Amino acid sequence: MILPRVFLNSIKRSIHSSKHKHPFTRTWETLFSEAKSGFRLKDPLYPEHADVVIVGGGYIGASSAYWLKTRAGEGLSVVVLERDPMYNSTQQMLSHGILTQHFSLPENIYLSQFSAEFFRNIKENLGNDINIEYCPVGQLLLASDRYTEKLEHNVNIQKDYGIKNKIITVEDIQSRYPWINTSDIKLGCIGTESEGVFNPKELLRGYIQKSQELGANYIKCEMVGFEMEVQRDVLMEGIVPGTFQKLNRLLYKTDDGEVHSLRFAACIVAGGADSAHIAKFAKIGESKGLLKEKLPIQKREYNTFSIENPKNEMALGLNSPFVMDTSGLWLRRNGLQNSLLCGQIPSIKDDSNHSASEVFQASLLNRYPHFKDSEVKEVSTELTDCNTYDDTGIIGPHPYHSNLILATGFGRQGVQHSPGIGRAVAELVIDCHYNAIDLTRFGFDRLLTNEPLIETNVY
Amino acid sequence: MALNLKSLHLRSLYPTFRNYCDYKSIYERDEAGPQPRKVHGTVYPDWRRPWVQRDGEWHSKLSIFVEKSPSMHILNAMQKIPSLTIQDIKEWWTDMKVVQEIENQKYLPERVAALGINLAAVHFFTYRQCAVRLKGQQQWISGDLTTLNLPDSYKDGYYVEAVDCSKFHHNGIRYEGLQNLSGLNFLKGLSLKNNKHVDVWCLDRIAGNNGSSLEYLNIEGCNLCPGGIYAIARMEALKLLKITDPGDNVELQVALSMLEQERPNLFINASNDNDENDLEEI
Repeated sequence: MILPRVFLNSIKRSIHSSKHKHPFTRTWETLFSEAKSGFRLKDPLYPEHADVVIVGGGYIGASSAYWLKTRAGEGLSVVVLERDPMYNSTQQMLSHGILTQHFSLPENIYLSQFSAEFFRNIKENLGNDINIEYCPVGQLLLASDRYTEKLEHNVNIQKDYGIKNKIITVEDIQSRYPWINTSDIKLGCIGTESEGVFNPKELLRGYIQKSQELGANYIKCEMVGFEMEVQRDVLMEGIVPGTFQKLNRLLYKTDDGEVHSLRFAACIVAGGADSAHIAKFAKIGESKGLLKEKLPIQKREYNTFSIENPKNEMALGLNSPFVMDTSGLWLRRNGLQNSLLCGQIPSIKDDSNHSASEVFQASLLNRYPHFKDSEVKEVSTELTDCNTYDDTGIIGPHPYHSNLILATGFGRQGVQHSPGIGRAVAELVIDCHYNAIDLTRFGFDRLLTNEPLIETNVY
Repeated sequence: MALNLKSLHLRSLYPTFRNYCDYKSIYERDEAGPQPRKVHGTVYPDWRRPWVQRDGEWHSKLSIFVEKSPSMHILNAMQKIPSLTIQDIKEWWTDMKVVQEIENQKYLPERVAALGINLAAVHFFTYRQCAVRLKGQQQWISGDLTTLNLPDSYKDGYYVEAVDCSKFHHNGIRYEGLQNLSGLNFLKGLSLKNNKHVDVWCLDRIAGNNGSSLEYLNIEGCNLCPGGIYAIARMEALKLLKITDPGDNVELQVALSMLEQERPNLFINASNDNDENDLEEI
């Protein structure tokens, strides 16, 4: 072949610059590279690769790790990256430890039924030393004039799924629980079964303990980015051919400042309020086409208050339920102590002129006028991840990054539905479709097709 | 055709099979063509078409025989085969026995449809070595398959007033078994003595189903915790409660004393020994 000399020179240069090794040397190195280092693992603490990486070791992350390990055992290597293993920023989860069956979406109803079953058998599932201290107080939902019809409609839907929620009239509420001011309420609904409060920290401890026992690897680090590999031969509907970039590795920074890379097959984003930040690393929301939509998860903080020594003639009995109001105000007994816990869930949009605490004080005194003289003390600030699009969780693979599974945005339902969500995530990874509860409608796709999925029984 | 149990005794001499199966055969499904995808009853339109359904793509006709991907549960079981021990097999067998027992205690809508809720409850409890008393009668219905002569179709006038489950067979009644008490509007007494599977969830279920009519509850020998006291506080008609002595459990003692304070009509009887015959107490 006659080629110009310039061309031959450039070929020679490119061959030498790509570190061309003799095939025999290369084979020897591949086979015996471990023997050279004396058969020691490169970095026993920080693995170089994992089958499934779960970013975020909270309720959903730990639950996913538990379910993945239960279903796959040694077959899948699971690594959970958690920035704060002591969970300092979410110390008191007082307002999240609620189990309720009051939902209107079939998926939520199935999820809460499964949660009840999981908590009932928690000693078999997570180990004998887990005691979630379930107190079946029931939940009383108070509906003002505007929401009466919706409440009745929801109770009818729930009957089809076997949930016995009773509608009670205002007179009944007044006679049973005289400490509630029922002047602006038209209807109430109380749950008869599997509704109450529990201790969520025990649940989290159980997930982490059991998944670690089964072999999941929990690493304390902070995620700093994704490494993407350009794959020009991949064709996907909705993207320009030849531009696909696959998420290959995950970069995380450990305590000593070193950045390690972790090669994974599937990555689960369960980062709660920081999920939007994590999604930005994968260029979700930064590009055109399928990557145009941002992950609409924001952090929401609200306060939990405690009313010490409620000085009133009408004390809250042991049978007082967890009372939820349509304004977002909730109230419950603080265990066997003589104090009450209350708080208010703020609305998604801050469009009122009053501050959150003013609104809270006003609604508290309106609903429970006897607490005028008691002192209301702030106990904790709790943060949730709120899906600002439609206030329902997002679970499922991203349309572009099919190996990135999102599982965030559940807000207050995250703790309660964590068994069902963890199982759904494990089914997505292992079976690639939902087996038990079909959560397809919770997928990211609804943000692209603009079909909000609104749960009408959530305040 | 009235639903009754007698029809089971008469079987035809030749086999008659009618397959009323929910899912059709693969040939019928293929002939029906592509159906719109449904999620929880509502149609869920897929906004992206899979590649095999685009123009110019070909897929084999043999793909109608490929229904499901290989079951991952089987794969998981195969992974455990090299490290299988006799202990694992024994544990698996005991787990299966528990599953069988739970399945046998489930609430059957067919039983209720054939017998009516009260008579179905009588059947359920008496066939598991419990005793049931009806409203307006003094003696208890108990016995086994040979001595009991219960009607096998709906009969009026059966109202269950009291159930004594202290001798429930196979280690006691479970959460699923307690659902058979739902709908018994005249239930006044319930004894769950020495049923060790009764815990806070069972008490929650009892409070939800029968809380408005139950007057006597005996839960000696069951594991009681402060959460259970909340469930008992929800039973508004309760008059007599019999439990085992809480002993050193301070929280339980506090909860019990709070309950006693709030409900002056409720008598709580804590006993240490369990050789009392409480059939006469109800």
